[in-house]
Amino acid sequence: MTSISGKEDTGLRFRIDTDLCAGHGRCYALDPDHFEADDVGYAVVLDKVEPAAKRGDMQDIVMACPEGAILIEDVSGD
Amino acid sequence: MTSMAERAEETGIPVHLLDLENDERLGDDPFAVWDEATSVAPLFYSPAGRGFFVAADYDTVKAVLQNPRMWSNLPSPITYTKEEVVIDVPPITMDPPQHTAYRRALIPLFSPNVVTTLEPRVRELSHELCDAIEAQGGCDFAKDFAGKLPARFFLEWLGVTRGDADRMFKLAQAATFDFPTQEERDAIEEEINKVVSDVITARREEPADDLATAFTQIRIDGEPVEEKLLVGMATLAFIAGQETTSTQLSYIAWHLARHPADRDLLVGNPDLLPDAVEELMRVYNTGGPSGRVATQDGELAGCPIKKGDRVFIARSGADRQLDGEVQLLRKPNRHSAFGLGVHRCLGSHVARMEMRIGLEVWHERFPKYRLAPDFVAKHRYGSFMQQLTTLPLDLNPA
Repeated sequence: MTSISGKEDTGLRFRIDTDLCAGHGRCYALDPDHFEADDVGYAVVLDKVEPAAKRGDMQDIVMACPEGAILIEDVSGD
Repeated sequence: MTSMAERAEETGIPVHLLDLENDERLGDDPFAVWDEATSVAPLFYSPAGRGFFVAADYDTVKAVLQNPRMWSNLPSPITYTKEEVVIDVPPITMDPPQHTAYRRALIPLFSPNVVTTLEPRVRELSHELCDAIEAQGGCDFAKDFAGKLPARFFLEWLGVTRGDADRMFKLAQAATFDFPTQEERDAIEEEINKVVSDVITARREEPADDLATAFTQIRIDGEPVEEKLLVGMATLAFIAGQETTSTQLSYIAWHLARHPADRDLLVGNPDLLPDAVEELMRVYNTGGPSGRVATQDGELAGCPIKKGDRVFIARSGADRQLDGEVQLLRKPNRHSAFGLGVHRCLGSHVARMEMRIGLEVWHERFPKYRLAPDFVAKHRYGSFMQQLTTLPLDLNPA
C-alpha cells in the first residue's frame, strides 16, 4: 500500500464503517485532508497513511463522529 | 407478560417522573429538567402518561437510534402523551428496508453541494430582516429574525410562495408542539397536506426550480411515489424546514446575548462560527421527535425489553451530560442534536448553513446586541422539544 504522499507506507489510516455512517459530515468538515463527501454527503476516506505519532490527532476526529463510525487501522508495509 | 413498570422494578431500573406534558419547570428551565433526568441513570422508567422507558445517556440513546430493526419508528402513538396521539411524517415514520429507498431518493436534494448554492439567498434574506429590525429600532429575535429567516428561506425553496407566510410558520410550530388529541393533530397535518399538495399539483403542470418540483421527480425503484406518501414527505419538509432551525437559532442567540465574551469572539472571528454552532447545539439541544417502540423482545442497558415497549430518547440531557460547560471551540465535539442513525436529520447541512450565515450577518449588523434588561426566559413545552417564547434584544446598548 502506498500513500498519496508516497512517504509513508506503514502507519495509521482512517476507515469508515459505512453501515454506521449517517452523513453527519463532521469528519470532512473538520478534517478535509483525510475525508471528503460523496455526491450526497456520506463520508469517503482519502487514501492517506499517517505516522503512528499522529494517533492522538486522529483520535480527536474519531471522537467527533456522532455515530462512532470512524475507525483507525494499522497499515503494515509489506 | 410483565409491564414496563414491573420489569423496571424487578431489574432495579430506577423510576423517575419525566412528565413532558405537565412539568411546569420545563417552562422556566427545561435544561435543568433534562440534567436531572440524565443524572438518574442511563435508562429509567417514567410513570408519566401511559408510562415509558427513557434512554438518558449518549450510549443508550445511540444504542436505540442505531438499531431501527429493534426500535421501530413506524407511525405509532407518541411515547410520552397521556392521550394516544399518532404522528405520521414519512420518511421519519418508516423503518428499513422501506425507509432506505426513500431516504436515498431524498438525500441528494439536501446534500452539502446543493446547500452551498443556497447560501447567497440566505445572506440576502438575513440582510432584509436586519433592515426591517433596524428600521423598527428593536426586536424580539425569536419572532423577528429566528422566526422569519428559516421560514422565508425554506418556504421559497420548497415552492410555497402563496398564502400567508405567518400562518405557514404557525402551522409548522403547531405541528411540532401541539399534540392535545388525535383530532386536533390530524387537523394540523391536513391543513399542511393541503398547502403542499396544491404546490405539488401545480409543479406537475409547470415545473420550477424548487423542492416541490424535485419531489414530483422522485422515483423509487423506477416508479413515482404514491401521492399520499409524497404529500406526507413534503409536509415533513414544510414542518422541519421552518420550525427546527428557528428554535435552535434563538437558543444560540440567547446564549451569546448573555455571554458578551463569546459574542465578541464570534463577531471578531466569523470563521469560528461553525465550531461554535456545534457546541451551542450540543448544550442547547432542542430535542426533536423522540419515541421508538420495540418490535421484538430484547435488552437495553441491562433491562429486558418486551415487544411493544415504548422508549423516549432524552437527547437534550444526553448531549449535556458529556459536559455542561460551554466551550465554543470544543474539540472533539459530538452531539445528537441532529439525531443519530438512519433518521439523522436530512436537512442538517441546510440548517447549519442557515444558522452560520444568519449569525454572520446578524453580527455584522448588530455586533453589540445583548439581552433586554429584566428579561426572564420562558420556554414553550409540552412537546418533545422546547422553545424560547420570546427573546427581546437591545441592539445598540449604551
